[in-house]
Amino acid sequence: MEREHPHGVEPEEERRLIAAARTGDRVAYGRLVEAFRERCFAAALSLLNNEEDARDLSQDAFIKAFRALDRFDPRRPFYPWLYRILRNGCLNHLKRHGSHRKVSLDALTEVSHLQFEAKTENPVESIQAEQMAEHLHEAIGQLKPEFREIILMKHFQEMTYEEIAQALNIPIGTVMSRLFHARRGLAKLMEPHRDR
Amino acid sequence: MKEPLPLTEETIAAYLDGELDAKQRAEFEKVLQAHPEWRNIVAEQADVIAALRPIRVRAPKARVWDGYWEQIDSKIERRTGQALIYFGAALVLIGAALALIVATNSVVVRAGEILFFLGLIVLFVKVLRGRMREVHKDRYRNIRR
Repeated sequence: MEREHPHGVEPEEERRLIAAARTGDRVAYGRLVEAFRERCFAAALSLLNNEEDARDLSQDAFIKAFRALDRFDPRRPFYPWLYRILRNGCLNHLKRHGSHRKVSLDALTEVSHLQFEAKTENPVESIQAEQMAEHLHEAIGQLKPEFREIILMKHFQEMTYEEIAQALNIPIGTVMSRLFHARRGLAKLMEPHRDR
Repeated sequence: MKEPLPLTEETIAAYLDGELDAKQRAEFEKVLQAHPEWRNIVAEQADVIAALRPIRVRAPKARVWDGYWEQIDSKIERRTGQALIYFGAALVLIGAALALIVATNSVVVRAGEILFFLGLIVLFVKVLRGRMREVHKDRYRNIRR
């Protein structure tokens, strides 16, 4: 059974739009862009930490993807493929324009442009959840980049193991092991905020 | 006899993310009972997942999407135009080079033309080599798009 997609396009519709876009239908492609732009922008923002760059490079990723649609395997989900294009673009951009930002010691600033919020509507739960969101924001910012990325992919972009493996071009075993270590790191960083 | 499900980083992640089937879960839990030190690790990881569950990335400000698709659409169109222009310019340049070489009789002018086009070739090769070196040094070149 296919899971419900977090970005609002059902897999069947996604395949239909891709098939249409491959024939040059830009209206269909526009719908795909609309469906994925928020995830794509958030992913770019987490890698670049700059809204303007994130906007430009997410747009670039959509343009490159459109031009490479012939090489896309339509049996696979679109987003991991798009993410890989986006990631390549962002890493090249960082290399060209000062990759020092990527390995900055002040890692806390790395996700500062990516804001978290609580999902709950309940006001009491909401206050606690907002505090937790702040702590998590800080803690995720202190993780190693590869751990930060996988936490964002799994928990905020709601990607499956298979999608993450495809997007990062790594085996599923590595996805699991990286998630394990990322969560261990988060647990340690969250220790001072437990049960407060 | 089938090997029991190993207690590893991978199986712990798979267990917590609901990637094991019912039989594997039961097997994993049985193995876990015998290893209290791993039970603490699993509990710690489960706490992190529970803390992350009610949190989401805040949607960007609406202005981020102003003209977002229109710019993509226009760039897609523009790039097609650019490709046609480059291709056309290359054809014109080759044609002009051939026409000039064939049409002129003066040795000096012909030598000048040859040097000019030689210079273009050198520049072209230099740019190409630079690009190839860049690709070769690219740590992410093996990432297939």
